[in-house]
Amino acid sequence: MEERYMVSSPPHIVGAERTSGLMREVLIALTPALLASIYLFGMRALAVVAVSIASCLLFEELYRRLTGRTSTLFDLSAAVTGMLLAFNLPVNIPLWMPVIGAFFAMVIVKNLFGGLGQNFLNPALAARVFLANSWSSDMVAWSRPLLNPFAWSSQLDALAAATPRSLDAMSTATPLSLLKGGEPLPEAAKSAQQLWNMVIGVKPGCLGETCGILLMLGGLYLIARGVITWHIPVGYLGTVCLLSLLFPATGATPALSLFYNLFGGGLLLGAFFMATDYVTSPLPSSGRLFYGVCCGLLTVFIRRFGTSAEGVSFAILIMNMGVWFIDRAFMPKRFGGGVPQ
Amino acid sequence: MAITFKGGVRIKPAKAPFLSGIAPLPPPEQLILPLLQHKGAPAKPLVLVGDHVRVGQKIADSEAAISAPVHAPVSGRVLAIEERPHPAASACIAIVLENDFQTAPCPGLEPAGNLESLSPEQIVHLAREAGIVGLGGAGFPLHAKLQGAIGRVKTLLINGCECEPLISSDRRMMTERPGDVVGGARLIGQALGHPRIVIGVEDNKPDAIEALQKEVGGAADVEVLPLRTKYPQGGERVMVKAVCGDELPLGKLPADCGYLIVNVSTAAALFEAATTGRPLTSRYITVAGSMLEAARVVEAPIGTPIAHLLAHCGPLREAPRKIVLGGPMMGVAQHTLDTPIIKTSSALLLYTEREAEALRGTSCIHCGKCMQGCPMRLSPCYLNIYADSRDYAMLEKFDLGNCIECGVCSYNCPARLPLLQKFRLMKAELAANKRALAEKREGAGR
Repeated sequence: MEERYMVSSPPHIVGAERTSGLMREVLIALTPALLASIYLFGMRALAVVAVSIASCLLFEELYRRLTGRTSTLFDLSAAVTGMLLAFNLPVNIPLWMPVIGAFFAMVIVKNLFGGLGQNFLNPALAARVFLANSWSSDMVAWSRPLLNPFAWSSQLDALAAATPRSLDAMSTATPLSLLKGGEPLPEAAKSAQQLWNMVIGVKPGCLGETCGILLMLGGLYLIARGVITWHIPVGYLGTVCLLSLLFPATGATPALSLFYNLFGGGLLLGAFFMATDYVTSPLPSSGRLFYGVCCGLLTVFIRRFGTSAEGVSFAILIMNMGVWFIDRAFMPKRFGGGVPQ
Repeated sequence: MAITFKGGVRIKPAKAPFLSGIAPLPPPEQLILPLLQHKGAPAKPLVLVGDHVRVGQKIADSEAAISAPVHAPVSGRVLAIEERPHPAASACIAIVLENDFQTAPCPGLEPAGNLESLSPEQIVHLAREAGIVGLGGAGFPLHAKLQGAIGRVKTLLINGCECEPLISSDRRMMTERPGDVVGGARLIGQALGHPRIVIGVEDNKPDAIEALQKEVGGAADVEVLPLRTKYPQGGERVMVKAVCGDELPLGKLPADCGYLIVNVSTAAALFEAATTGRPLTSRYITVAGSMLEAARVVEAPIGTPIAHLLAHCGPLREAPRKIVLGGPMMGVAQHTLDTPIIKTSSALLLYTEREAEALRGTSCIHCGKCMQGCPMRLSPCYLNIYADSRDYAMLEKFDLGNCIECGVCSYNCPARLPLLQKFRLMKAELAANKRALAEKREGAGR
């Protein structure tokens, strides 16, 4: 028989990038911050991350199996969601809560809308907001960093259970809530030591959001590797910084206001890793810049005028809903003149 | 700053060894000459089965304005005039020649004499009689291109970009025969009324740039312009944008905007025809593949079957499973080795089973890498959605017609979606819909 050859449509070569490769890059970029978190908060941080990732993988696989679809675990997107969800939880959260969060993220937000690429909200953020509204006290049980990676901070649970939360010596206010108090910042909060601690992550907060410098490093890594573009982080951070400088919080100088807004909460995690989620952010470069600026505006408004000290999650989730319109509004100009109708 | 355009993709060059110069190829025993080797109407045979033909004899021609004659590359007998495999269409009527290995040229093939005294009409006639078509791959008949552009062109771009990876045919043409390239460029310029002449070459071919610059010397009429190496730098509309900053609108010919773009090998073929009288009967073709000891550029007679070319490109370490005529980004996969090389075949690429395997993909993750790479500023991501739902109105709204089918979106896509394949299908369906609508209107008007 005559030899037969394979035929296919061009191109006959493809680039090296794969969905799983891009997701792996995000995991790599988050790893330094994860290590810092273990150092700061103890092995329990690792346990929360492990439970969160494992349950995200489990729910993704279960959903796909039960609905008769092929497995998608290889694309690593579920692992990224799991990691980001854990980064958005306080370290002392009961370990069943990441499981609930994972269910909400993977099944309700992602797969019920069609799976990878089809969800209109960031699954990890939506799950965080869901948890924060359902178990609000657990979600704000911030603990002070222990600076002992080998400590199992669940001892804190016993302590916390034995004492009312308000009296819990280990449970404390985040820098942002200090700023929000409206009182002048105490001298201790302005010391160089305190400011440096905020940069390296020695401050209360969600387990993955405290080490600002490593989050920035991870974000720059993603930009350098071409995984994300600079538009969203620059638009987002630039807007927050500018507004903090122009309209400092009562009781703080512009510089302090900027510093607290930048390093005091979840802004860096949000700007580099949450707002840049492919599925829920715009496509055109100019649209991405606009989206970043809007996220920044909303974050500042919520932090300033809202009831909560933190505003990153809601700012991003609200902007997620506008992505379709931003894509359409910022469609590039037609090649060869004229504008697409 | 290097001259370039926005978008596109930098493709890493293959590190495989490449033979220098032009590798020899013994003439084939049988040649298959399809009547359609160009854009436009197919030519009609001028010979009958059993006729004897001589080297360079015109064996097919057409009265149509957009068409090109076909010439016999060798001396021999017409074996058959029948349907044979075609590199781009599935099959096409072809004249099959049996080579008798005589070298006597056809009488009447004379050099054009003093080139500087040629009128535009004479140059157009020369291009037509020599059967010259766009050798870069488009295959538009040169005479038709020139005819429509006389007196309307401000800038003549001679395209030496050769932006597809692996292909080196134009590069060899520029390094081996820079005189033909520059001479051809000047001849075309003469036909058009002496516009500005720019030879654009990607900067990964310094040898070609140097050879051309040496050839031009201090002359002011031809400019050799290095362009940044980026695919698809050699696309017509992309090149005009990069060199002159103008964007050619969809549906307009470059000549409508004062431009003409001619491939370097096409220009060289015109010069060769003018100085020797030989019509276009052979071309440089790159043969490359991981199973070859070395890639090479061969001068192959038009009509050479792939099987013959393969047999003379050294031992194959592994049998190829996919064979492509043209570049890796835009070439066409062939199902049989009986397919001949035609005027537009710039490369023959061989892929192993593993290289040809389709990769497992995911659904679209909205990463925007297709959009960042699109030189036509399209949104392949959204076109993909509308292609899946066959929403023709939205496909038109999102400018599908502007797609130049360069394949960057498919190349970039981390989800491995066959974007270009879908877009080609959708373009065909849109065109069919328009035809149907026009026929309906015509029917109603009667």
